[in-house]
Amino acid sequence: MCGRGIVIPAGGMRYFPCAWVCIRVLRALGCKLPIELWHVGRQELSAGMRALVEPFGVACVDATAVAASRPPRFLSGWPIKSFALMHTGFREVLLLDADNMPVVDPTYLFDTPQYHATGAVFWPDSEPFGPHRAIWRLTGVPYRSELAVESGQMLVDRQRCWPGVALAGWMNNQHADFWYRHLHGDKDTFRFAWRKTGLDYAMPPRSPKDLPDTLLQLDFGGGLLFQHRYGNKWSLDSQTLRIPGFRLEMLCRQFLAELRARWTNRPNPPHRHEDAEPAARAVAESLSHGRWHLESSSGTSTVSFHLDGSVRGGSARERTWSLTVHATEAILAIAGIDSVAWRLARGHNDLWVGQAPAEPGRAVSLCRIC
Amino acid sequence: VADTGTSGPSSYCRFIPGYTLGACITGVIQYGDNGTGDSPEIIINAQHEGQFTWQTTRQVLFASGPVSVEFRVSAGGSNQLTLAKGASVGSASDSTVGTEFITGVEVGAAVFAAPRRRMHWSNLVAKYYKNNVLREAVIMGPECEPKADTYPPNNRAFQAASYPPSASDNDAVTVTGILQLAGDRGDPNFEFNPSDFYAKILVFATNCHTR
Repeated sequence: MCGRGIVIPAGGMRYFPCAWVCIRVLRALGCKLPIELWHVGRQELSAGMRALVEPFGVACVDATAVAASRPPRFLSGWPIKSFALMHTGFREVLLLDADNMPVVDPTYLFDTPQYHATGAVFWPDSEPFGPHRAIWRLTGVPYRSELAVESGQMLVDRQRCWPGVALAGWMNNQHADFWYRHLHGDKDTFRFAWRKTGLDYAMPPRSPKDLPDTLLQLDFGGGLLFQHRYGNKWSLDSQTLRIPGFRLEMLCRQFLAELRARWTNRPNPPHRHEDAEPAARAVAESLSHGRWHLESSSGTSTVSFHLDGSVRGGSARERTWSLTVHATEAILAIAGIDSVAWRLARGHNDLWVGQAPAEPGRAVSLCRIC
Repeated sequence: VADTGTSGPSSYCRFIPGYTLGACITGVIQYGDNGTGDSPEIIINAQHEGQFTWQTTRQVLFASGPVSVEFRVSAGGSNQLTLAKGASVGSASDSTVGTEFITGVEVGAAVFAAPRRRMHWSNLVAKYYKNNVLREAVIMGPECEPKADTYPPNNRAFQAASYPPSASDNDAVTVTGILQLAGDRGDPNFEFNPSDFYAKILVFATNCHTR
């Protein structure tokens, strides 16, 4: 292991757009650190996706290839973070969640005295961690009054902190089914791994600040450093709403638009009637007749579908549409300015019912106006 | 009690580590014997069987192409699992099990844990009905659909997900999706075992009973 770098666990339709925005922002801020983008299998990162990020100094690492000789029990989801931390080629790592992003070049963190003192910087979560929790007894770590860790960003010197890195890997990659019953995902596994192995870490003194769906993390001097957009993520598959107070939002949206334009083989481009299969053409022509009531938790609107793939009359969430039709189903995807906002399946009597992707429970229905 | 917090990815995909016990009606889609007649490709509740041809000409590289799947289950006991690809259609029916309310659906894919086997679901929808009216369609994103894949470097031989309704008094459900099977025989004379490719659709219900 050698050098300094950034590790971003990402991949798949949900996290790749987030990682893209994070990478582009890092480079726009002047960060020159090499970046590793970790993913689980080729199904999470196609050759096309890889080609998009590699020009920005990004090396894509398939965790399944790294794990091929000795696969861990848990790799996808949260556990890929500890796995990447164990196996990255960098000695000193800034690990960033894909849905996180800095607002200044974070390279200076590697030279802060707090990092040099301990070899690790963790950032705080909003809540403390009470003495009643079973995790203290289970780990044998004596209770101490301290804030929980928010692991959307971590700075680690792997050589100095290897016992903690390895123990966190054991907790996440071999026994996540046990530890996640007592901790919320990976985040405090790192804290307990450090405590259990007698390591120390530095933590900026100020608690994070909140924006809607976003946690703002500060540096040791109190300056804003990271915006962890844990909800309402950057997405081409569901609507990304504006978050008041989110820094660099316009720049991020430019990068997202750039991804939309360059990622030409992504799912759900607008309907192209001249290219549609006969079954899809028939459904499309039925849709294009008349107007429809679109009802969701956001309200009701009257929309019409046009054979050029456009939707008229809706909100910013409803701009284009596309169809997937097979022998037993027709699925209508309605996309807004950013991405697919709704997916609906066809019922009887010109009724379509569905939901917002990635937002289970956010229902939508579409019914023809007679 | 698990902590709450904000770190890490949201788990909106409803993957499950294994199927839940106690399903009322189980639909199985398997390789079978590729429609030649002895071993079924479609099974409902372990006894009602149907045939389907995945690949008309045996080749070293097995690929079913996209096959449409529909599993209809109603409280009255009319249950049918259908596979369709072009003009090729196969189905199995069962009317021996009735229910009161449909409370959930689980869908999974599995391949025999040898390299170079793949079974992918896509466009999965669970449509829940009450009195013949479509009330809810659970449609997850493509990243949430079960995929078993042992083509190197992948080594996931099983994946399943839950598609629960928000209401607990639905009286019918229709699960639709596209299933694709692929594998490498290595030798043109090699034939897969019937359950080398094995998908399940489980329907959970109250008052599950034999009619």
